[in-house]
Amino acid sequence: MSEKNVKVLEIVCDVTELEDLSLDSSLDIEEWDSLAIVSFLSEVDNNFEQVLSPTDVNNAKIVADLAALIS
Amino acid sequence: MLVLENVVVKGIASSVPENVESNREQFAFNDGDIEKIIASTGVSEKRVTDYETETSDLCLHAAQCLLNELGWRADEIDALIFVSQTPDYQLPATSCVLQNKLGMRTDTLCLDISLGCSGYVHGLQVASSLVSNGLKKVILLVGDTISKLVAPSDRSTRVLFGDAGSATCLEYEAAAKTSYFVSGTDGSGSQAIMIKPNMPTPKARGVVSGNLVMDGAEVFAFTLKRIPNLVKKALEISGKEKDDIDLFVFHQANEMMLKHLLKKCHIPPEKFIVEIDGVGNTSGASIPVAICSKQTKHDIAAKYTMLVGFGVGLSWGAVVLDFSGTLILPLKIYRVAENA
Repeated sequence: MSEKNVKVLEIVCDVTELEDLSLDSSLDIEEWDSLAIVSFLSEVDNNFEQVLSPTDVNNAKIVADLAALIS
Repeated sequence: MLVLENVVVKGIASSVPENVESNREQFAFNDGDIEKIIASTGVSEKRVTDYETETSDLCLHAAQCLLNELGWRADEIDALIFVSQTPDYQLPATSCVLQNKLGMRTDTLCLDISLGCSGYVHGLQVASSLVSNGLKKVILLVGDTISKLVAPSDRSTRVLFGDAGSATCLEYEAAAKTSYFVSGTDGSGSQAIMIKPNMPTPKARGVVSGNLVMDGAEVFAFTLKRIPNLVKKALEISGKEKDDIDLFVFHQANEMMLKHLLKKCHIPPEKFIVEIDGVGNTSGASIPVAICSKQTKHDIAAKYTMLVGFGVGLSWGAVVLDFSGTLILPLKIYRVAENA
């Protein structure tokens, strides 16, 4: 797994407080709520200095889709 | 951008309602979630008005406290600018009502500006422009009673917004240090914070309305995109470095956003005010409320200060100005029984 993917997965686990996620995990879960999404945007900016579009983040179906948004 | 001479901010006062609303008590049905929300927003409690108290009441209270401390008479004031998105009436302008309540002269300019989170900085720009161009004394009143517009069950807004009113007095002074203003607007983001039609109508007196809805992620992304550059631009036009600025006061949107901006803008934490718990996000009044809240705890000894407002509109602005001649009153509490 690339460093970027490792980091994104770590962030998603952190903001959802779930431990057993993978890149293929669905984001159609209760824990992926508005607070988790805002926290995700914040951590992506902190770690990758990139401000993602909330629309793109909302359209992501699985964790890998989020990683793909980061250049 | 606008560079203004001959204006001094003589004083700032802020008033909050006596009623304290606890988020833990309000949303006690789901302890786990509410603790996460409190940790993110920084708001465990905020101040909200009763049904009868209007935005003008809070602003009037702040104004009377400030005029008394400054030794200003209301009939010396040449203009009153009232900034709010929860005015007392759809019409007439609330500034006209306040002119009368304060006891100002009738040969004065009084006008309402409808802005929220950026309202203090933009209101200051308008008021400062009037003074810079010859009016001797101007009062800027900025306040909101957003609690009247949030649905009780909407945790994204109910936990966050508090009510407040503020007063800022500005005076013409030939030797005053220069003020530097930067402004921005992007209406393509207008839906990010909105009162949408066809929502259940609360009893906001005189105004047909709906409930406030906010897209937190869109607002967060907007802030990250716009505010660091705004801070940079304000420093650039003022010719100042961060080291020259004693105090940074941002719109108190929520604690997570403030901490993120602090880091992203590389501002020394000891110069950055975070004063949101106990009062909530008070919209346009949040900057003066934060300043007065801080003053309640210890004397603010600031010379050059940067104020940064951003939010609903989408609208944003910053000002670098001198506070060394500014009287800052500790936060005042508006008590209904004392003001009946």
